[in-house]
Amino acid sequence: MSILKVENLSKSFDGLRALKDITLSIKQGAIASIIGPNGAGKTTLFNCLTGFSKPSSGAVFYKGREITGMSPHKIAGIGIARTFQNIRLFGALSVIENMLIGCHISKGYGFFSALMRGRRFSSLEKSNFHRSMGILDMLELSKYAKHLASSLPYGLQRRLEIARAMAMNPKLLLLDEPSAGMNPSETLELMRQLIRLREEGVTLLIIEHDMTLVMGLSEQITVLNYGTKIAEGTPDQIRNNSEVIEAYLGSANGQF
Amino acid sequence: MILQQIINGLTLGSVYSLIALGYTMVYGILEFINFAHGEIYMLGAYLGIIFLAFFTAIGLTTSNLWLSLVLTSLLTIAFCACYGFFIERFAYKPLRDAPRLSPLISAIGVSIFLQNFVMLTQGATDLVFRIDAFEGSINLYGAQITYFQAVILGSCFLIMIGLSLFVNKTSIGKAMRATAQDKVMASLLGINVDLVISITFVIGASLAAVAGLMVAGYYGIVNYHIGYIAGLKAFTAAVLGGIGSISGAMMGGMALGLVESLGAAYISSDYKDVYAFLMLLLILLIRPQGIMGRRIEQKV
Amino acid sequence: MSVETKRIKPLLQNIFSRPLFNALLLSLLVLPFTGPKTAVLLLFASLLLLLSAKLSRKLSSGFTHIKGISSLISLISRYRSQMLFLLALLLCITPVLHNSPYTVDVLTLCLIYSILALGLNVIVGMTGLLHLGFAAFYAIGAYTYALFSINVGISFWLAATLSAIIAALSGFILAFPALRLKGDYLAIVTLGFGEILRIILNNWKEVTNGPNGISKIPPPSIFGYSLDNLGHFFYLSLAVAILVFVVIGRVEQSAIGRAWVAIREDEIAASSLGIDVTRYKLMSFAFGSFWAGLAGALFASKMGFISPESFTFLESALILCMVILGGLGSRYGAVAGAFILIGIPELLRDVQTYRMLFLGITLIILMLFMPGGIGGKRAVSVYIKG
Repeated sequence: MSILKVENLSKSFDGLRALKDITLSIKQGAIASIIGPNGAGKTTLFNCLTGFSKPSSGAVFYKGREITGMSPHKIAGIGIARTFQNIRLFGALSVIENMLIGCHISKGYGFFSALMRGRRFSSLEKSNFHRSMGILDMLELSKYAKHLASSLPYGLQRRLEIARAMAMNPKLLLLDEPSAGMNPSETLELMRQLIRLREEGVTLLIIEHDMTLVMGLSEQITVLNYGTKIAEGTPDQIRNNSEVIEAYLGSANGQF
Repeated sequence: MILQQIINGLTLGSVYSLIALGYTMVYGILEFINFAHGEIYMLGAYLGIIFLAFFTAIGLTTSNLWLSLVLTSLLTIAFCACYGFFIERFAYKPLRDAPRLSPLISAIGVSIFLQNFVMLTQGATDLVFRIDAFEGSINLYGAQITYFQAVILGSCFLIMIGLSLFVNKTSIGKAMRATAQDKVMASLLGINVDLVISITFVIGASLAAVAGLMVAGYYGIVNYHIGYIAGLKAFTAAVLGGIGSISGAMMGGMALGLVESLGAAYISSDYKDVYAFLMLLLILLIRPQGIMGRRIEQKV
Repeated sequence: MSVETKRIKPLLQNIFSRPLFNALLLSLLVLPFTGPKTAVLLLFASLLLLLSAKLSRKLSSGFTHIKGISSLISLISRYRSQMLFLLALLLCITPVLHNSPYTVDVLTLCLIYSILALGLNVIVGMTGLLHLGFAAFYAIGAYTYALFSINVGISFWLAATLSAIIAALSGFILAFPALRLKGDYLAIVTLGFGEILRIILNNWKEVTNGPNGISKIPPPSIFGYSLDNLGHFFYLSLAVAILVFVVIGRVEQSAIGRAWVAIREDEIAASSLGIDVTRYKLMSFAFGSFWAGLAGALFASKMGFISPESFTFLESALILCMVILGGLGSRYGAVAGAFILIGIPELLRDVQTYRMLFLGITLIILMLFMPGGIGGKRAVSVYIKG
């Protein structure tokens, strides 16, 4: 049962083809990774999946429903969350405020209940708050709840962005280089937490350069190079794929 | 009749184009709407009258009219250029890395300040000054082109050619274009970005000064709030042509001048100022990138 | 703090490194406008100012390290806008002040501007949309009230509600196309809208009576009692202002307010979290304009006379300045800003003529040195219970 299906997706910017005929399928509950050298089109693919870029051709299906070209907030609303390569936290707000904004789609009340502040409003606000704190607990961030997001160290900011995305109750979570800028022990901690997220029933699709993380976690790896898919398979298959080794190792001197 | 309106429209359009160039050049480099730019034009108009009045008072105008006109123009341009330089250094430069709205709000502050400064020092009433030397006109198929209109059209044409040559051929012009493309890259390549920005403001202010001089001479009447309306219209012209594009600003200004003069003649002159704004709203809504601009996809 | 100093540093270097040169240039630039006497005066004044600032900067650099002083300053400054807000409230309920009709009049005006500033704060402060034509919605409210209460003869409450709703609708209609534009363009479109409206008010003489304005607008009445007494009207304004403050506060401290703040901070992140950016911007525009309409109705019924003169761009700039002075996003600050910018010029009658001049300088100085306004920091809070 696949949760996400991409069919012949292409994207060009002013004639430059950033993605060529990408076909991809992600199994429900899996951890899948996309790897490839810089400029291979990984982030562009994410942007096409989450509505921030309009694909030039091809289609994207989420749980069998076509979502090609839908706007970002609608895609978020049906259960696809994402993080950004260059962290996009609300830096001037506190950690808990970031989380509560993440709860937006489950706010469950309208303008007038906000005005009246009835029982429904209070109970919904309270439950969103508790859920936020729960997620912060799970990702070991709860002691920073009242800190400004921008005051957190870099690694924790990355983690908070994941936590904020989790506040949306997503079924599919796209992570754009979650371990970038982390030291090896932080990366290990991150891996542990990503496994916990999977246990919560979230499907993960990860763009990553850190091969320990990719090889250690993923069940399925897709390799992009110059906008085309050059390989796909389990970590073992990818490790031994000659085309991947050529494209990848040629430039990046043996991270495997 | 229609020819007359077209000539009047082009005259007005030249003035708008000159001011619009300042908006467009600054926007091209800093992506910042220099809200106070219209006030430089107003200062130019005032300074022109003040200097000419001064030269008349000391008798230079009667003894050597052309010398006093040339001196007036040069002084006005120099003063406005200094104003442009000064304003950029103090009110905008410190805010270059601030949130986007900060320099815009600062510019609004500069604009309000300059308007009220002139109102307090020069009075709230119209300042009138007529020069007899410009009376007289050329007859062209029944339409009258006054000498001054001819001077405006001619000098505007020359200035625009000069500016295109400057931007495209000189090394400073090339540095400006490089900075507009990518500030960081330009500074890595050894371009003094601060200097380029200052020069842009100085050129923009000088062009606005010329526009102010033209209007002061053409109408012989100025007021402290002419800069606000003219600034808005010139901004419209810049957007119309595609903001950031120099040739676009020229064409936008001319188009706006024509629309305004034809609209005032054939529809209603009460709503003269509305046409420009309506046009601005329409362009922004239909084709925000302007006639010459290109659409850019949002960066994630 | 470090970001701020980084930004201010080049400015200071600029001004203070060459005081003589800068003072000379400044006075030369103003010479044609002011004449020689003032220019020379300015030369000495600016020289003195720049030199003394240079000197004091050298002296004061030692002080900031002393812990006690800085923590005391930060304690006071943290609640500055709240304290000023309380002061404003205190002014409103001090009975002694109500003996003078003039004071009551000024306080009423302060309250009306507080409502305007609170409304604009929703759009500019919370949602981060620069709105330069807010006076247009104030005008729509005032004219709607005037026309309905004169021509149709409906009661104050109905007419005021109608004014607010029509202003909100106009805000919605303007925002609908305009919100496709990014920051600066949106600002210019709102500015253009303000101008268009003013020109229409001036020229559509059959309805608005043109530049002569509309007079003999009836004062409000409650249960048949006409509130033509200044004191009564003041209490009405106070009640309305408090209501507005509470209502805006409730919306602000809900998911709706948080969505607005999210849009202000980062639109892309907001939309990735499922926030419909366009919809919430529209909502913010309509919600903010609603209060401008209400303030317009109050203003029209207070003055009994309105004309396009009262709704110029400078009015929009004044309200904007209140919001920025108070600190973008802070309700307390918006009220404090309104009281400061209306109250202080009234207190110092002599400076009335220089009011707009100072307004301009205030805007620049605020942006350069206190981008957070008098409150210092943003004051958006989250409603957390239990």
